[in-house]
Amino acid sequence: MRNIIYIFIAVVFLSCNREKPDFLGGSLNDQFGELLVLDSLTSSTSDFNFSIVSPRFFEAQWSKNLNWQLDVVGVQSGATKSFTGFSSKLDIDNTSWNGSANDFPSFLTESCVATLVLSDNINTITMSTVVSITELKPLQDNLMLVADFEEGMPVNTIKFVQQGESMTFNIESGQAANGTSYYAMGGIVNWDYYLGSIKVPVETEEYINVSPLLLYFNMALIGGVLGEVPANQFMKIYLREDDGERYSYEINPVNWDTWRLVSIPYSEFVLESDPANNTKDPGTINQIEIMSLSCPSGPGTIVGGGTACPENMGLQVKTDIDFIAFSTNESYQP
Amino acid sequence: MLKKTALLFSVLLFSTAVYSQTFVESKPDVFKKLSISGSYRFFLQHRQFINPYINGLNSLDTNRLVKKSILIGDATQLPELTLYISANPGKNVSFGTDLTFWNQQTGQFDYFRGMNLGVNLYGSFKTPIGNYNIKTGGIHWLRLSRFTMKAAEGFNRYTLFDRNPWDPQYAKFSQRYSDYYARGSVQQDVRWGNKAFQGFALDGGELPYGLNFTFLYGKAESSGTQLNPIDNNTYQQSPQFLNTQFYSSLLPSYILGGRLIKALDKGDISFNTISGYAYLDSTGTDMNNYELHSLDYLYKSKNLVFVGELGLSKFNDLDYDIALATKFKTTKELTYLPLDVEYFYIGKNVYNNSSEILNTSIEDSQPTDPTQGGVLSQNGSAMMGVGSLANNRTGLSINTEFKIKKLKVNFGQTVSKELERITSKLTYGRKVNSLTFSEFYRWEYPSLVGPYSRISKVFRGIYETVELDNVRQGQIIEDKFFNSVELQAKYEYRFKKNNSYCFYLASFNSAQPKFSPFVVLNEEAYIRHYVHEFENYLSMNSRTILTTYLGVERVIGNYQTDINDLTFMPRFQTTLGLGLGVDYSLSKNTALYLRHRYFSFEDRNFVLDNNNGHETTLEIKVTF
Amino acid sequence: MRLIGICFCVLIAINLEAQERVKKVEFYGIAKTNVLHQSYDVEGDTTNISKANYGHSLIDLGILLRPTTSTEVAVELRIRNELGGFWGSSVTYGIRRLTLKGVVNDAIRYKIGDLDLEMTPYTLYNSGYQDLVNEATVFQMAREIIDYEYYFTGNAWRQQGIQSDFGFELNNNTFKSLDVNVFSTRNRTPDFNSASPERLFTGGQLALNTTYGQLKFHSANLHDLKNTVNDIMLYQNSVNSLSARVQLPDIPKFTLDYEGGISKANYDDLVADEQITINDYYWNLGLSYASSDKLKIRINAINTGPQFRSPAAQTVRLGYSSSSNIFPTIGNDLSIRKMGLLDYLYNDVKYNRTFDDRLDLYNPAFSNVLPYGLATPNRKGFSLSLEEYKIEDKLELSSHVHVVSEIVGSGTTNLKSFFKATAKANYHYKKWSVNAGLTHESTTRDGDSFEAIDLSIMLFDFGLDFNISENIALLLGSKYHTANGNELVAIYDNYNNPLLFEPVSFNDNKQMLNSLGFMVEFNERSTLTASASTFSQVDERDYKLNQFQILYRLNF
Repeated sequence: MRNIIYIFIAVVFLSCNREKPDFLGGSLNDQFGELLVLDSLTSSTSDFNFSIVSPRFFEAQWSKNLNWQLDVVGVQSGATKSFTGFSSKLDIDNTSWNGSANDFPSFLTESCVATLVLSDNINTITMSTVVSITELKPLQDNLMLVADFEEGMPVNTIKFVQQGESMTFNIESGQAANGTSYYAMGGIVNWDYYLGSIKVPVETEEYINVSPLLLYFNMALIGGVLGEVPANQFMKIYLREDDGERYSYEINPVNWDTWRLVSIPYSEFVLESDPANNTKDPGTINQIEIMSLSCPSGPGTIVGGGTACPENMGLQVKTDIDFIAFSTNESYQP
Repeated sequence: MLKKTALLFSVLLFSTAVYSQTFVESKPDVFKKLSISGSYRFFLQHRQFINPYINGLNSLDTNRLVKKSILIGDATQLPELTLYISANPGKNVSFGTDLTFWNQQTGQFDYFRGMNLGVNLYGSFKTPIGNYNIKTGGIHWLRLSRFTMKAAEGFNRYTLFDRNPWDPQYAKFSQRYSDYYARGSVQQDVRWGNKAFQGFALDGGELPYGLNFTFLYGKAESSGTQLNPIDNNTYQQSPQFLNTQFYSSLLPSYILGGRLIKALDKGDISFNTISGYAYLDSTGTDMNNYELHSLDYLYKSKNLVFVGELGLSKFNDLDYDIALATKFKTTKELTYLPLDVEYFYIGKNVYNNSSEILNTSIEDSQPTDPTQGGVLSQNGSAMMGVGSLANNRTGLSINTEFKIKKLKVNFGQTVSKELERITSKLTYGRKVNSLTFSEFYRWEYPSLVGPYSRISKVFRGIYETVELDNVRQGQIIEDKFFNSVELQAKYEYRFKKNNSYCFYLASFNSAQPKFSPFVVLNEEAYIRHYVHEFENYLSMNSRTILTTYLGVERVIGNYQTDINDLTFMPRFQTTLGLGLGVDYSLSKNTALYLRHRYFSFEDRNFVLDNNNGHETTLEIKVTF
Repeated sequence: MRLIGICFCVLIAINLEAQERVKKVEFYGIAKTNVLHQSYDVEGDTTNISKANYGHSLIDLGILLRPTTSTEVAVELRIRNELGGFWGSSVTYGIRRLTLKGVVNDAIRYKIGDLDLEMTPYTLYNSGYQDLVNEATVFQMAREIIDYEYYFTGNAWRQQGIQSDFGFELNNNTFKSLDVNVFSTRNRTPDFNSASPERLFTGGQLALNTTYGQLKFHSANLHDLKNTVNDIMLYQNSVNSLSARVQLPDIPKFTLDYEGGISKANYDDLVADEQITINDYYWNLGLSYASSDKLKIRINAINTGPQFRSPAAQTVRLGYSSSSNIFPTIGNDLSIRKMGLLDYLYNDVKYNRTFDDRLDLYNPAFSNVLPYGLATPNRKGFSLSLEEYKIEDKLELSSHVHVVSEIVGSGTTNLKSFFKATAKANYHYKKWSVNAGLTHESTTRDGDSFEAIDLSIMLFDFGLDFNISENIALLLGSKYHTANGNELVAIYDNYNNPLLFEPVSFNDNKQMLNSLGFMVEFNERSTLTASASTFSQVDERDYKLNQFQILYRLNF
């Protein structure tokens, strides 16, 4: 019996094994160590050609794991691409770039400044480097570009402009969301919500087998500076199908003053006409209508009834658009 | 398989020899001698106003008490059931506590519990250099000397018609009245002449050189503590160890006192001291600090007794001041009538709320609420009974008594004067129907209330404040002199072979700006206060006593006191009390006490201060 | 079947015969008066109240009710009134204990209600105080009050539930008997607002007594009950261990002790449908030598894994983060006053009355080597103890040395090294008694400046009693504590894993508590003690406390 106990103790003593991590808890170095730059910020190459498939990333190394942020800003376009993470270095795994931007505007072939900020609550270190975009990224697969206004309006586009003041429904050049041109829509109509619209014909047979959940309507949209434009200006988008059904989506309000991507799955559009088959058929969309609207300031009778918005007196609606496109499976990446 | 396992287990359990081990923890040493005694007191009070009391004015309207009121429970001391639990775990240690329970029978089944005197612990030990007794906890009823710690006993001149909650019961039913006739006092409980104390008390006796001492550290009523209301439901969830969770302020408020007595052949001499500390505010910057040190002596010879006390007192930053009370007593063999003659001088800066000395001259910022440490007593220049002491006063008291067959008479007079002119107020305590009037403010102790804001309540009594018109150019222009005469007659007679008793108590008091050797009976006096009370206790048989009471009180002010705006005349008050009652012994240790009183108060010049009605109380008391 | 029937009948017969209707009521308890008067001295402080005076008297009345010889109900009632509350204005009532005890067939004992439970230092154990080594008599008075109020009986936890124990005689030359002790207690009631489910603590031990020694199996399980609330997270922790105590046959003065076990903590997140399991093990091997009644030596080796979890054993008695209502702030800026030795003994700091699943906060200035006792995770090393050494029945010595290190580093790969030495001495001569104790701990770790640790702490206890007469004594006591250096204290996540580390430093901190007392013994269980104490703390904010206490305890 005694021997059994001895053997038992020995077996238990010797057989136990545990998995040991390097250390318990967070690293003390990360928590208290001094922040030192071991390798400065560099890019994998000085020129980034996004038209070909090759690694494009940034590199840097420092002495402790912390939260970092890398922003790449186009000098000409103002486009921005941001990378964030928690680590002690930058490499291909955490800063691989395909040429896209966070949002519109998209990058041009331009110089970009990449800035890395490291902060551990005691010290903050900032490093920069410059890269040049020599070629833009190709458009996404399954992307149907409807209009980018670089070479004018799409063929057979129908424009309607309401009677009003300072009505602007034209292609303009300047700070566009993509390229150099965009379509301006705006003005002052003090007796009707409807300022104007464009109707663009499309052919979407290639989407015949695509689920409405996976078909995205993409468009760049910009409003105006708060106080200069009505606070309640909005846009409405109609998609018309071959069977006569009309599906709509309202972007309300348009209250931002930088280009922004609006990407809406077709499944979120709402039937606004009499139903035909009461089914969204992505392959049968034949027209896109984009309307610019705002609450009229009055005075006088408002078309369609409704109450005037006197606070909008003298404010000019601005709802400019650019880069209208359909994509499948995912939103467009500016 | 499961069945077989269960079967095997059952066989093992029930067929193998099983045994129980000893419990892990040790069994407590048990104690069997716990003694429990106590009393049950059912008290019902019914009050019916004919003309209800006006307790305040509301612009042009008057607030009156409701005409009819019924209370089950004595508002002055509620408990219905009081249990005294005590034990002697050893020959030299003991403890006791009281537990009280009551229910006001409102129909809501609310039962209350509490304590009256609290947890008391005792111990004693002997050493070669003396025997020592320790008391801790509280409340203990203790005394040192008249100037340091003691309650006034007076000359046992009071009425017995109104019963006290703590009045004991006797084997012989009429003993309460026979004791009063025989000794001039009923057997009082432990609190008579003593003061309430909590904390640590050490008595040492049989010390070398014939010395005895008492040492106190703790709290007197004047140094009570501010405590938070306790909800016993949430208390159970609190860690019981927290010593401070019930205190709303931890600032010290305590007394330190002691007495060292040297026994002599024919008396003794002792040195007494008391110091009191009490913070008045929550930041601990404002404090009352008083001290009183005294020497008291007692010398007895065959026909003569000398007793007195000389003290030195200080209050906060005021100067030291002297207190002196010196008395000699003679027997009738020496002076035909036994005499008790006392001279007293109590300086205006003498302060000690734990003593017999009433504070009438020092503003001590003490709260009036007794639950916040206030001591309920008359303030201002008080018109007091014979033999009472107050600061800022000097005077002479003479008492004597004699007996003619079954008639016993005692008589006393005090002539006193205020030393300095400090206040232009006078106060006097109402005597007839005083307990009934105090019940108009049942659960509180307000000051300066009533239709003319001049009535204040003390424990089981009220007093009235008088404003004097004796201030000219910011100065009080007149002294105050006080005269008080008390006369008591007690007569024993037989009715159907049972002893019955008849008592008469009269007091005549005056306060005036000039000296007078006797009570002033004219308008020279600011206030004239006359009281007559007759009581009769007729023993119908060994179990039944018929009680009757008649009280008449008159208070007359002169034109230097408050003048009514409507009548332009000073107070002229008449109080009448007519009482009838029965004491009936239901069985051994169980008795019923019924009292009915017609009460009436009228001030013909302050017309709002009028009320009358009937009050009936029923008390059933059981002691065990 | 027939066998069961026969056994059942025999059982009933025995039971009926044993049931006498003996009604007995007995009393026990204590009565106590405790009065304290304290003052507070901080240089330049004009804001804080500097004095406090309070106290209470209480009676704890225990009633033992025995309706039969095999059943007993114990209830302890408390009646208490505060010093200064006249005419019943501060009266409180409470119940301290309610327990039913009984024996079935003189074989199976059971207890329901308030239980005191203890197993091994790794399974179910209430670790002792960290602010004492060998305390003076004058401080023991206050310590006994803490023990009594918080139900600290030795190293047992007061729990509420049900317990049963019984045993079997095995009628074998080698295996003498088997003792079984099982219990189940309620650790926590459900809280619907926070979705905290009902939590039970269940366990027991089996002890096999053999001619060679004792072999025991222990089990302690803290677990949530499902469906008592809308469950979000369920927790379960099991500790199972084996211990053995064997006397070496050829050298009977030597005894071998062993305990080893495993723990498994399970966190079941029902919303995210994730389960986290944390396992680890421990062992403790000891060899003791007892040459006679006068000398006992012991050597132990320990290895307690970094993820060993045992909630009922990994506890700290004192809630170091709590503060007292007495002088809670210091300085005109009303900073929180740092508590010290006097607060731990006399004031209303919080002691933990039960355990939970989180590792308690500890104070490295008082215990850093084994803050959770032997069950402290992430420790390996050995200890050497002179458990008892008597010289001429007058002098008793004991000493312990621990040399321990981490198994896995905390926040770094470098390991902390610990050293702890304790020495105690008690001396009695005629009317004099002296006792002293010293404990010293040091913690070190190499590395860069942000990870280097060097902490040194010391606690010294001294007591001197002089018996003036048979029942009167003068008492003197001192406690001195120092702490110097730095440490990085782990802050744990919800799974008791270190997450971050908080630096703490002690810049030559000192605390000194001195007390002079006078004690009168009325009988062997009733004493009156009056003591005057001074306390000083030298720290970032220095302060002093003075105290006068009267304590009268009367046992009956």
